[in-house]
Amino acid sequence: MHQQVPILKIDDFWIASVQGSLHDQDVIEFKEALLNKIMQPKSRGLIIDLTVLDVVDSFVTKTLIDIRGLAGLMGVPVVIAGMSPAVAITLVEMGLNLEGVDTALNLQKGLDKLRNAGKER
Amino acid sequence: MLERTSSIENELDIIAARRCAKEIAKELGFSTVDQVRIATAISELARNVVLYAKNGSIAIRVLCEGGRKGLEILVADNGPGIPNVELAMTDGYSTSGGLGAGLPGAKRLMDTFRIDSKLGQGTTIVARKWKA
Amino acid sequence: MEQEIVGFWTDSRNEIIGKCIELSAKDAILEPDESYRQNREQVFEHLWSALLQDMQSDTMAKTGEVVGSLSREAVRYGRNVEPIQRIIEILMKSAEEAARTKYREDANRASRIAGHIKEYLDKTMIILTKSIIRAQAEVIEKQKEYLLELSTPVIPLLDGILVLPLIGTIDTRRAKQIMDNLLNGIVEAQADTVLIDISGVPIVDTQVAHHLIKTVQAASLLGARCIIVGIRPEFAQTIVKLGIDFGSIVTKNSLQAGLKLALKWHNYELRRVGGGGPDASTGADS
Ligand SMILES: Nc1ncnc2c1ncn2[C@@H]1O[C@H](COP(=O)(O)OP(=O)(O)OP(=O)(O)O)[C@@H](O)[C@H]1O
Ligand SMILES: [Mg+2]
Repeated sequence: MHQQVPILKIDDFWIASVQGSLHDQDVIEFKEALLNKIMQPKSRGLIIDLTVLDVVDSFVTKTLIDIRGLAGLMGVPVVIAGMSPAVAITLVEMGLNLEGVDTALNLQKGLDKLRNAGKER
Repeated sequence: MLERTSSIENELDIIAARRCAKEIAKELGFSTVDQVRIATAISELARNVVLYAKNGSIAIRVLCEGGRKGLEILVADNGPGIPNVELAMTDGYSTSGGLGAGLPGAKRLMDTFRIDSKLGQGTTIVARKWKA
Repeated sequence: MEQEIVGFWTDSRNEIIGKCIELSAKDAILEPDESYRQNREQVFEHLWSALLQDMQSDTMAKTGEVVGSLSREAVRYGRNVEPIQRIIEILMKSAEEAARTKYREDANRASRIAGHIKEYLDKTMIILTKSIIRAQAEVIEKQKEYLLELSTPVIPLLDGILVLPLIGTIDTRRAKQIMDNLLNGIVEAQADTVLIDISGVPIVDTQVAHHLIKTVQAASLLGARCIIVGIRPEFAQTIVKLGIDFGSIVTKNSLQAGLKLALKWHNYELRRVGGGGPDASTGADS
């Protein structure tokens, strides 16, 4: 039942692809694992890929916001990629618009975004 | 009339409940967005049960009224109850450091939403979604 | 309901149905009609038994169901609804004749029963009328849905840029449809930028503004940026007056201005190759 979220590294960017449905404990562990990774020196960004996540509720949203906030403190930009239309509509209707969180249509675009952001700095 | 009841005690039950509802919604011909709306509302209500009342139950019922099809969720617990329902239904109100989006959000995702809560006795929520 | 009619209706089942079949065989409307030729007897029986149940419970619920489903079917397949009316008339006529035959000796009783039958005929006809209207409304509703989809096209302009021209009034239903279409369009085209042109929306009130904001927010969750164009001065005033926070939403007064900005975001540059106007553009598209 326990689900690990694989966290990969491309160049100096961390990529986490969330699979299927996570339960709360998984979400908490996922958050810890991510923060451990991006604390490593030379981390230049983090992409959380939600392409196959079926439900994003307020708990998961809070986790995403927390991750972004903590990563921000460490100077690591975060991009949420691959959210499905149905999930986006649901979140907006719930009043959760993830204000301030950077997004991208897919992993590739997320990576491009982070690379460009790096160049600008 | 189709009805499925299950108890909610932990996080796994939350996932099981929303998966079950999503399947039924799909079978009834609800759109993809509606399936996600329903599953998300259940996730919110069931999590509140685990978080604030420790355990409770959820019933998912198929509705059929004058040719219209719909789905009803009934979430009940014997927990502490909610002292001020109006406040709990306000965006951003949380006693647990959450976003306070669960109850008001679930209400907006569903077509009808009724909440009954008695201090020291528990909370019952009935919400319905009709097929467009 | 009175025992008398219930008793008569139950006892005379065979006479009534028999008479129905006889009458419908020579009926000018029913006989040439294809739709109920196969199962005519069944339809009469359904209706007869629905009426019996309703007489016993003093409602019109069962009859409503049967008549409702007959008319829905007819309307949905674009068939004539007159035969349904005939079926009801024939059933009642047969019943009345059966009553007159049965109570030949008791004229008073016969007319009492005939009165009841007339009453049920009226009620059933009202139900029929209502169901036809409702069935037609359902069909119109369906057609409206198709129209809605047609009326909110998402146009891919060039790589990564979409245009969503909104025309006509936007109610909650349509707003949802638009959001759905747009988000799916964004994913399909993997678009980064959307120009939402609202110059064709006659009234932009709080509701519409609210829907627009939600749409922009949802698109942005996917990773697409929106530019709202075609904002008229009245609308700008509405926004200010109502204190709606358009916050980070990018707006431009014309589609042209919006397009220029979108092109800039995509690192395109709009410039004329060669000189002059459209006539001199021969070399431009090569
Ligand atoms: N079943 C329940 N029993 C007792 N109290 C409840 C129950 N459900 C909700 N509450 C109370 O209502 C408040 C608001 O609930 P709501 O779900 O909207 O927000 P939250 O759970 O605090 O945060 P979020 O759902 O956004 O993570 C909760 O903080 C809690 O105090
Ligand atoms: Mg909650």
